[in-house]
Amino acid sequence: MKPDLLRASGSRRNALATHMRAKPDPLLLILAPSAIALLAISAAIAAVLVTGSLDTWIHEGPGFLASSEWSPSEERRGTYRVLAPLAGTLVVAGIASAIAAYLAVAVAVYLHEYAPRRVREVVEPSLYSIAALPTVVFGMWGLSTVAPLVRQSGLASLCARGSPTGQSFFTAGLVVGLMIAPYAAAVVSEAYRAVPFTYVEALYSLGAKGFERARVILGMVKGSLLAAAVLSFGRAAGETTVVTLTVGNAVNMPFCLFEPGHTVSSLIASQFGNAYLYPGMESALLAAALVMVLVSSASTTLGLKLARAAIKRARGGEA
Amino acid sequence: MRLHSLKRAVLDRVFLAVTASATLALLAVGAFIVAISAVESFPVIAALGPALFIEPPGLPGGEFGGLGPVLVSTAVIVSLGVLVGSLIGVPVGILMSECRGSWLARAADAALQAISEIPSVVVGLVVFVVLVLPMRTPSAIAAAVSLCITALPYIAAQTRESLAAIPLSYREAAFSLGLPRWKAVLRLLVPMNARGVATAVLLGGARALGETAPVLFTAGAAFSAFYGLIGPSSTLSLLIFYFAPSPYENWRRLAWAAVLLLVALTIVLSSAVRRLSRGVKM
Repeated sequence: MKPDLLRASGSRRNALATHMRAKPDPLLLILAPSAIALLAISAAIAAVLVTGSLDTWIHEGPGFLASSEWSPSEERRGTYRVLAPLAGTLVVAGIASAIAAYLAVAVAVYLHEYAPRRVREVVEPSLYSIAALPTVVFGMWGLSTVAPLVRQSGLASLCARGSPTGQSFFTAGLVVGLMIAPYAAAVVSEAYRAVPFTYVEALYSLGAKGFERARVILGMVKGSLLAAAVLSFGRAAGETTVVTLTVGNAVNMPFCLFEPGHTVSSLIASQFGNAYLYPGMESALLAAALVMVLVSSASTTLGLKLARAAIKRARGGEA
Repeated sequence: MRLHSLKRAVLDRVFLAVTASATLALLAVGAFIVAISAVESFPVIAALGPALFIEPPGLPGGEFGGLGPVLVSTAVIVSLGVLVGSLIGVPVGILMSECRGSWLARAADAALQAISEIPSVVVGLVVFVVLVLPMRTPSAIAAAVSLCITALPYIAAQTRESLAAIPLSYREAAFSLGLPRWKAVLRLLVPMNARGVATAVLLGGARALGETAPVLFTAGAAFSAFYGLIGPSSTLSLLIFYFAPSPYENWRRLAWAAVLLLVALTIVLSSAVRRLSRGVKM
């Protein structure tokens, strides 16, 4: 019941052992099986990713990430290297997070500085609903509406191998950016709201106009802008459905944004179903998945940390 | 001086225009998606009426057909996934809220964080390796397991948040009854918060319903009938994913009908979640 008291005497591990032997908390025992199931699931995910990709790390070594040769073979082990899709992931996620972060700041400023209360009460729940829409819905919209618009814009002619269908790195980044913008806006809004009311009052009493208030308050919550960008990057890097439908699915380095390409997730989505036909491909895709997990989790962890710090800082003011 | 204030007034208007148009653009995307799915799927709905919910999809290039078998598999897969996800997620949420200091709660918290950060397509890959390969076929069970893992973090986090929102005075009252702690928590605090738990389960359902990537390799693509729990299956979102790039107009229109249905279901579920979770703060 009182682990802290026990822990104070003797070493930490001893105290824990005594505590567990002396008084197993029935509540803990009742809830333990579910928690153990959860731990087993996460351990299984890690184990499958690591053991499944081992073969590739041994065969390809660091070259796996340093070249873009992707030549499957049914007879012998083909060569599978993922520089192009990995670069594609970073580029698409970069475009998406830039768009999402820009829109997030604009929406937060509009809602807090300009929108009348009635408008805000309608807009906020609507944005919440848009954020809840399934990703495949945005995918279908991107494929049927955004890609044709990109094609008609003629931007593809800027590239040597511009996409004839409008599906490209840019299209994928744009659709994903629009999709996650409401979520990024929520991150910025939360920090904006955390700024103490006395500061807002002080700004009003100085006669500051909307953009001047926004400039001061955004300066106070600038950590949350970075958090929104980093969190968006993490979500976009792992996004699969929308990207597979809009990126064009070709192994191609993202030197020109209006060419079709692949991201790690779209490569997995389009190749994994047949990977068992090609020796080595399944392992290569698991290795690529492992790299994607690391990129996406690292930015999500960092983003959440930044977001919490930004809110704390906003509450305490500039001090 | 006058010039300066004029400049400020102009800048203020410019800022208003820029920020308002960004907000409007986002709202327009949402409104456009709802509108275009209604327009594009109108011929399907007009031709079939309620049979949309019964008939199987038509042959490529032929009749529209309906979404019947897909709806059955979606209902089976999502409810099975959310049921299992709740059996694991709700107790884990209680654990994280009520046994906060324990090492098990800390480990569970870290595991949940890790699972929630994994891109959902990776969950599908892992379930493919663990379940689909040994079973030699994609199945409704494998799809349900994938969706269960995807929904788990949401269910557990929402359960924890709703329990944490119970005011201290209620807790004190519960513990002052002299019950052992496990009884106080499981017989008083959790039932008192039944609404919070229901919200968590609904939230998990909304997530599971919308996910495509986890079922990409685990469900199979059997759209024309429901082949039982261990047979190949499909979900609404998977149908959209497969039919959206199709060259056949009848399939594309059917995908739009599925989009309309999915959007309606998501909006209903997410507004229910929001309404319920607002009520939790007693």
